[in-house]
Amino acid sequence: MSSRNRKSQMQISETIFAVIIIIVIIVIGLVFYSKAKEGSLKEGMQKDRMDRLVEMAHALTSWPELECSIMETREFDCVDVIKLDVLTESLGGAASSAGYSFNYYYDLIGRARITISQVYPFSGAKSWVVYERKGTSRTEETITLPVSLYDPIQKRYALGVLELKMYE
Amino acid sequence: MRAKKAQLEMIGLIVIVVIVLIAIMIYMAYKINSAPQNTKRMYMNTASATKFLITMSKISVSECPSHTLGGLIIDCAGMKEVVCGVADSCEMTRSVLQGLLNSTLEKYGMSYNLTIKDIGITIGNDGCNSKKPGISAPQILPLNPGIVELTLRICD
Repeated sequence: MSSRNRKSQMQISETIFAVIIIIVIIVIGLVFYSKAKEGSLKEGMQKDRMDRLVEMAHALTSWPELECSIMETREFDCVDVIKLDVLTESLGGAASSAGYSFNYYYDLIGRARITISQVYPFSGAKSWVVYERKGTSRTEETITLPVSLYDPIQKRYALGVLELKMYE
Repeated sequence: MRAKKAQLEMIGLIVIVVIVLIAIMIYMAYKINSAPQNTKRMYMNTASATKFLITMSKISVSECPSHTLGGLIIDCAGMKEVVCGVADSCEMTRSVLQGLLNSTLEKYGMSYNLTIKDIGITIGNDGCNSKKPGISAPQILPLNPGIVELTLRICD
């Protein structure tokens, strides 16, 4: 009787031990799964941000508000400085009063900063902050691309750098 | 005897389970730590290389008011007639290109190599060459007769 009791106790202990091991394995699995899921979610969000940034940077120089056109022929990767002056002034003025044009571009771009700086000729280099709406978080992505800056009055090209910073 | 055999089987099973668990953990750890594909970097390298070449050939050279940089490159590869102050078209091309690259790609921490074969200009940094992974953009300027080939490589 005593031997049978001990055997039963041993079997119960084995079962409990097996259950504990299985629970531990399941918990470890869940922890790893959640970590992996968190990682892939963050990766997905970062990829979306990058895609949006690239898409916007690609589209910017083709905006009719900025692109150069000579004899009604569009030019690639070229920004008309007269149009640039007008757009900067228009958005700069509208930003303070949250006017229609600023809201229109906010819907289009979101929280971002677009800057175009002339880098050549070195003398008299100008810089334009075309659009600025700061983000609430510290997460930001920046992209810089060379562009031509065309002055239709003097009919001269300069080299500029377009900087697009997008906030979360 | 039978109990011992059962114990041995249990141990074997536990060893297999432990091995599988370790393999899963290693795979998960690798998956979590693997860097996401950098779309931005790839786009920036490709776009910077192509846009730089397109843009730079059009710009008006301030030291040579009636000439574009593309025009100076063509002159340097061909007739060598243009003189800007004290510098000829080849010297001016090299000096302007160096300035442009310094204020754009160099400033933004990019590793690059610009080659204009026909006039023997090679400007680069960080030992960027065709053996290193990266993206090359070509540009062709017309010469009478022939062509001038420009290649800008941006290394990863």
